[in-house]
Amino acid sequence: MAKKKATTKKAAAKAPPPPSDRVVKSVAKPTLSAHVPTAPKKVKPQYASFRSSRKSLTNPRRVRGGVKLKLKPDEQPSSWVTQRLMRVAEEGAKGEIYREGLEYARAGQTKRFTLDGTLCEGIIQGRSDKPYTTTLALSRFDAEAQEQIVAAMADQVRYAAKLLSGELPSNIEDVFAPLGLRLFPTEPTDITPVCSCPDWTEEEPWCKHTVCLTTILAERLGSEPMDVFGLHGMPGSDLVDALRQKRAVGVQGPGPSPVLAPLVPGVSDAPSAPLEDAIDSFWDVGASLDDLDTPIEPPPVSCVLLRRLGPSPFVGRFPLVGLLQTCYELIGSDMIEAQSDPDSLDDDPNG
Amino acid sequence: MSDTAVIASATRVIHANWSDERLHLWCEMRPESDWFGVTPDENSHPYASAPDFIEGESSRITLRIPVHAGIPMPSHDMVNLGGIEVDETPPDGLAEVEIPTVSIAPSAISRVLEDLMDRAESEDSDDIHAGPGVRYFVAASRLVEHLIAGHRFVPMAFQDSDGSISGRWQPWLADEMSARRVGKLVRSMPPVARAVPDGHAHDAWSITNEMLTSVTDAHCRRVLRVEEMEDTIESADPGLDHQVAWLTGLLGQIPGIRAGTGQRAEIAKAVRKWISELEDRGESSSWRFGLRLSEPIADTLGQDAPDEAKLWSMSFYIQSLDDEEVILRGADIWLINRDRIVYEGLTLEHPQELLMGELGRASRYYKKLEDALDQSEPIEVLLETQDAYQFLREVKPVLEEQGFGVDAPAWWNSPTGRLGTRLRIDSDPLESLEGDPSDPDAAPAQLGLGTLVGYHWEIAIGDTTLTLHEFEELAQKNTPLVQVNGQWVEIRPEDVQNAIKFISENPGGEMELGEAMQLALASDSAQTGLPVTGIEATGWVASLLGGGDGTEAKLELPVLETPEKFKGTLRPYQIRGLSWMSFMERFGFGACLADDMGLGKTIQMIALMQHERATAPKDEPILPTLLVVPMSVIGNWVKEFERFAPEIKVMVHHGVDRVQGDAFVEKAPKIDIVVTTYALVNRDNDFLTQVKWGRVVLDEAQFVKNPAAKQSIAVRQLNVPRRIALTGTPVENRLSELWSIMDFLNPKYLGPSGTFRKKFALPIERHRDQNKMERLRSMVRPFILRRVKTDPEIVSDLPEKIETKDWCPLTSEQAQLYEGCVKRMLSDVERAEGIHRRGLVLAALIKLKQICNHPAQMLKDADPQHGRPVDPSRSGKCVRLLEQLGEIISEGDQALVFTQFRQMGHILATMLRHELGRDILFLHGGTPQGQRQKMIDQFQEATGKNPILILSLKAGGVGLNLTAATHVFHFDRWWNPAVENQATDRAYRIGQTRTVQVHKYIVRGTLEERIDEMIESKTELAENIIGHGERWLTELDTDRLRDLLQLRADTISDEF
Repeated sequence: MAKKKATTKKAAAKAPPPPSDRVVKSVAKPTLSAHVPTAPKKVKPQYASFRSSRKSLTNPRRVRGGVKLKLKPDEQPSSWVTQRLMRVAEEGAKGEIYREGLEYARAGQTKRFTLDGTLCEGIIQGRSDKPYTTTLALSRFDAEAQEQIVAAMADQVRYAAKLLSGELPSNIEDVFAPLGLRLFPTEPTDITPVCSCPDWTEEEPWCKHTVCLTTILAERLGSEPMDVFGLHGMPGSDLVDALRQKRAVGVQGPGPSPVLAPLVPGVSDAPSAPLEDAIDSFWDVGASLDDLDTPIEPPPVSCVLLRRLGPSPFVGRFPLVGLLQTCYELIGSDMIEAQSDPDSLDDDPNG
Repeated sequence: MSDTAVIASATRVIHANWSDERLHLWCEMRPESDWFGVTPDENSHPYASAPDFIEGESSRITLRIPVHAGIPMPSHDMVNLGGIEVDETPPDGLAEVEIPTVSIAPSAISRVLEDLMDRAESEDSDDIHAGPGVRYFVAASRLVEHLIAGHRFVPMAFQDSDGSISGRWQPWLADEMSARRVGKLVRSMPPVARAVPDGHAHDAWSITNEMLTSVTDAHCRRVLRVEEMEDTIESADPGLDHQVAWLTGLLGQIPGIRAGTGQRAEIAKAVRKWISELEDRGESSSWRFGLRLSEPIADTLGQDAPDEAKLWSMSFYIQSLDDEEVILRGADIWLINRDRIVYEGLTLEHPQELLMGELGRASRYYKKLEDALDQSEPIEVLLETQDAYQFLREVKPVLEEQGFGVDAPAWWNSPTGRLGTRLRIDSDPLESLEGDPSDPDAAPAQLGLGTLVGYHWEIAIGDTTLTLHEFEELAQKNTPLVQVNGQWVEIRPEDVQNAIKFISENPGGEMELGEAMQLALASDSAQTGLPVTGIEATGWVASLLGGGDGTEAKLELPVLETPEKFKGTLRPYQIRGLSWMSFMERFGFGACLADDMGLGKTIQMIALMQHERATAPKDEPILPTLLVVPMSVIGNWVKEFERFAPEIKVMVHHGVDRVQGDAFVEKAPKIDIVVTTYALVNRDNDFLTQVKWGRVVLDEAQFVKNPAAKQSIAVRQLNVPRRIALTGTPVENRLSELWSIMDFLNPKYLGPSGTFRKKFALPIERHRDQNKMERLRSMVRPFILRRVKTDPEIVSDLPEKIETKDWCPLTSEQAQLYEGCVKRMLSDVERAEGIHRRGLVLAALIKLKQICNHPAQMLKDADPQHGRPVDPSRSGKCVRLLEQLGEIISEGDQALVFTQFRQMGHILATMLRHELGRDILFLHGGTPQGQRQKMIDQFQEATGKNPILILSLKAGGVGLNLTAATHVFHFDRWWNPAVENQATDRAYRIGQTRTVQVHKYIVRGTLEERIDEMIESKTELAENIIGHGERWLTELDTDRLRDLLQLRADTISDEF
């Protein structure tokens, strides 16, 4: 404890002393939202430009039942993935083109949207009769890179857990950076947009159709971020399987398996020696059994795991968490009582 | 009777395996005919069977176990306990064998295994032993109980290969403490427990995890079967609501969740996502975000706010996990304002983002942190006292589990930081009780645990006692954190209420000392409502408690002197032991002297008797002492009294011609000490209880370890003012033994045995509950004095080598054989001459020695190399050896046992293996060199696996270095001290740092005793004997031979 303090002091000594009015600064800087923790580093939101734009810039042929961008003009994307891709498109296209592409996306000019394997394809209806075919592609991860990615992620409990539950960890890109890879496009050149419209050139690939398709993709990846792996040539399901395999040490019992197999550090990742190699100690119990203590005590805080879990994962008014709390209390106190139940034990031999 | 006897004699080793979601129990039992002679069937185990005495379903499993020449090999336990002597040949490999079992459903595992353990550990064991697999799954089952009591389990959904899903309760093992526990468990798994070839692929974790989950699920469901929740659930439709569907699968007996394919996937995904929150251990794997709560700083303006209005600061920091001393404060992180901080060689990337991100994550569990998120550069959050308390009590543990660091003020959760109560006992000073020698009426008062003492309860915080006024002031504050003398303490509202209630219900006054000590030392806060922080005493009670750390460091007792009549010298620690026993008796407490073997408990006891006689008032009769001993040590006591206190009148109450009934009652008061056995205390109870004894002493008090045994009840029934127990085993670790001895010494102090078992024995023995162990220790410490040879204070008092003679009795079988042999020989030598006569004498001598060792050695009615172990109770020496080795092993020491006869070595090895359940090393002249060295290495490694090495004297004579032994036994005598010393020196030589204890076994009344006397007499004859073997004996005439060899009376035991 004292040592910790000393170190902190050392750290403090290196830095200039804190200003005296450190408590609350009233001037609001653009802040990071706590819920988007490691979103692009301290960058001002760039949506201001389209937020104020109300008047229609384009006049394409109307499409019925096209895919629409759900994001409202005044809204910030709820997912950092969406936010990121939209920013990339904005940086790639010239201001006007970006706004027009965004209009197209909102208006539902995307007649068809497919995400098939490594290719994202859209049929976008513009002003001319025939809709244009637009595609977006990302760089491919080769076999070696894929192996490295799986290994790096399996090492990290938090990546593995989130991915196995179908979620994308917010700072997943920290895994890719050291490998020289990028999972989500950060710069316009990370995306290869191609469009059949006359405006598209290889030098200036960002037309309103590619912008439109990019924003639709942005929203899709926001809700299904795992799809991004497919775009890199590494299907998400393969990744999850590979992770499962790594984490389960290749051993899965014969019975049903839990929907989440929690990693127990130092245990679930340490496979046993083959039985053949254990013949010499075949009948021996390891010494560590002797200092395994298992006191029967009530927890310091009741239902601590349930508290950590927070609100029910399901929608509906059914009081799941409250009922589970009752379960915990019943189960726990039953165990404590069972261990100290005088009736279950022999009486005094003296009578 | 005879039927049960046959079954009882068959050693059974029970094994356990997890297969097909059930626990399978099977047992190894040695068949009546030698199993090596049986041709086993292909694919079956020659000596495995289903343990039919266990309730369950009969079933079969396949196991891969070691085989030799195609035949499954017995387990180690079976080899050792069942007396199966096998070749040293290693197994050829593993082969699949089908084994009949009794299988147990998960819901019954805990009960069945605990019953089995009770049975295996019970004293009147029918020779059932818990094999390695059983011990493993018992520990696993106990771990489940621990996890459930501590709420360490989660609701989960399980998916089968056909896609169907079910609700299940699962232990949560990913937190640090549980992972450590389950790690200890899994690492200790004996390979046999994972020998079932199935989908687990012999993986210890996979099998254990499934077993833990099944048992957890069964426990939870059992409790939830009868449900108050049914109302809530019934009104909802599982078909429509996923939550109801899942919960329904977690309650009741049917885990299956009825849902369509799409719904199943949704439920599974939602559960997975929810539970995976628990694995979310933070954004960085090398840095941890932490919160530090600091006490309010005293207001320098002098305007001190009331405690509840003070502001506590919660600041943030980032700590390296690689070097926990590297801590970066939040304020510094904002000031440095860099994308990367390198500090002490550790790199922290994007510190500001990490801080914000983790703060955001922490705010999910603690809403007050959201305030900080609104700041651009959050440095701290201010909390009012009430909030600070709530944070410490409720939020801190949650955050810690989630992988955050939480720094609380040092006083938090320390015993000095919480309200408690202390018992104060006032008693008279020691000196005032001594009585006035000039005033005959002022005899010292008889005290004891029943003595009433004045007591009252004090409210205290740590060591600070609060006055009533101070306490009331605190109680009036409406906040759980207050300052007392500038120190913050936790005053839980419930503690205050309980304290008020407790004090008003326990105003103080007088109570029995025993009761007071129980209250103060063994109370649960669950009973008193608030922590009992200890006991404070004045006067003689303080002296009693002062010595209470089990050693003598704090003994503040009047130190006595060696009694004048004592023929010898007492070492300083023996004087202290004498003083302590005298003090304890003086105040009416039963005392247990539990010194290590070899420290001289016997002579301390002898000195106590002399001291008593030297200090007693002249005109008062001194009541006799009853000494209860195991048969095997009667001779020792008699010899020791003869040697150190010949003036003490000793009577041995033993043997068929012992004085009984009224004659005994009349005679006993004229004797100083009556020595009898545990068996006779029970048998002769009716007249033994009629004598007015001054004291009862139990030697080898572990003999009363079974509280329900007749002899234990008999000794507790003796009504005597003073009680002493002597034992060399660490009694504190054997709880039923401890209870039994304590209940003899200080009746009722530890409560009825049933209550004791529930309150202490079960939590400590089954679950290794350290708190309970500590509490029990503090209760019994004042009554136990235990010195071990390694105590620095003792070591300096001890010589490097202690030699003792152990006088063993003959059993009646031995005596009969002995007398028969002597008679035959005497009549034979009458008619023989010369070499022939000499040959007859020598042959008879060898026979006599063999009889003294064990009748089986002479009769050759045992086949130790292939047969069953001999019955140790046929030989007085064997009984004694077992007692002493048991003690030695329990202390973690190692021993050498020397015998002249290789055959006796075999008999001993097989017998000890069976009785002690361990591998016994035996080195003899025929042991091949390679094996010889291996044995020596095994012994010298001192792993505790091979604590005993038997040597034939010839094999042991040559240059061996066996310093891992601290005890040397000469099971039979060579009659040549030089040879014996040479053997002894295997242990007592360079490299030996501990005291070596040498035990020389001599059977009383036989030629062994006679020859020992001659050697001791150092006469000319002795000179002849030494160095000349037994040749001189053959020269003696028949009369002298008769003299020498004939059995003396009163040395035969009739109890074996």
